[in-house]
Amino acid sequence: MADLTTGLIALSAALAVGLTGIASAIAERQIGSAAVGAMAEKEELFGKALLLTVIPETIVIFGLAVALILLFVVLPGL
Amino acid sequence: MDDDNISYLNARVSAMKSKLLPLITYQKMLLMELPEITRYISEGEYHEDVTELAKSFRGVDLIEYALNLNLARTYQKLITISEGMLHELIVGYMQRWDISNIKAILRGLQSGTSEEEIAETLVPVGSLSFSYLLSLTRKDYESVKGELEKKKILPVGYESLQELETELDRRYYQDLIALADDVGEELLVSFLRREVDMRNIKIMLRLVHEGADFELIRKELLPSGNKVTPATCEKFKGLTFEEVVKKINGLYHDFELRPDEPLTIMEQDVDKQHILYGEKISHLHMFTPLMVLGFILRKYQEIVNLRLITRGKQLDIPPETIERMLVV
Repeated sequence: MADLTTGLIALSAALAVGLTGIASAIAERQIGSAAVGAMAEKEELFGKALLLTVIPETIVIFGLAVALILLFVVLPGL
Repeated sequence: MDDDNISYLNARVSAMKSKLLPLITYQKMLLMELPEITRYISEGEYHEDVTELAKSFRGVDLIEYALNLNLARTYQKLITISEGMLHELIVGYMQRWDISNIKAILRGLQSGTSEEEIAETLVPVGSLSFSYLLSLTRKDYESVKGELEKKKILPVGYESLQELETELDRRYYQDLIALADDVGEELLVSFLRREVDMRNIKIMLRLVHEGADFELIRKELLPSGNKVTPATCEKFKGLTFEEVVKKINGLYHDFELRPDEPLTIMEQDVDKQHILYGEKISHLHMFTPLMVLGFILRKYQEIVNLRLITRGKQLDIPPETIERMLVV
């Protein structure tokens, strides 16, 4: 039974990182292409564009945080 | 339309739009003398185009040709950087300049206008090359009409130029609206239908002002509109010019004409309000092709404005009159 719980927690951690990674990728694709488009006309937008492009990265960071909590807080407590 | 990378194009066009001249710049230019204006234009966004043509032209002509070159380059860029259905839409929308150039050539040839004068009215944008258009200005009306009919650019069987022009417009909007409909862009379809309404309103105003027969007005109207079409124009029958203006003002809640303005200003006001409407809805719906189409109209208007200022100054037209004619 303990093995099944460990497995499910590991799977949950993987899903948390994997799915948020995909979500970040979709958002960054849109923002990235818009940023490149804007920079093609106005090079000075590089700083702002870079910052806006990485904002969806927070989604995957939340996923990573959830995964780490599952693996290093929840799992050892069982 | 996700695959067409609309976010890339819209952001790029948005950046291009931010470089368009604001009203304050036009007002500044109106206070300048002609040489100052030409220098001001040649130092800004049009620098490259002016430098390239500086060997061949001088003064206002140089500015005029540089503006045309810039317009052609900007539109070419939009065609190059777009892809898929969005590309088709942009190319389709720009066919309006092919039509306007063909009309200008046919009208000019029919009325016996000189080659140079016809060439001045041409806009070097669209699928027909400028050199081809210039070669047409050197021929006579019948041979140009025959040649364009053979190439299937003009429909066959229209004797009067007026009917031919209406048919060209009708086909243009019909095809474009069908294309927008295929893409599933409802907002774009409604924008185009409103554009047809605006064109019909201008025709209605002009013809009613001239006291034309109502049947002629009905024949001139395009069918693809929303609220002013040959089928729905009955409500304008027998009305005076003032009553027509009043009726038109009741069509759209965000569209109003001032009845005390002269007809030419009123017509410009129709265009102006349509451009502003396009601007407004393109901001509300960021992921639609409206942003690009709105920019196409705005860029053309900038060229028209700059041409108005330079030519107006050359002819000593008072700055207040020129300012009233600007569309910003």
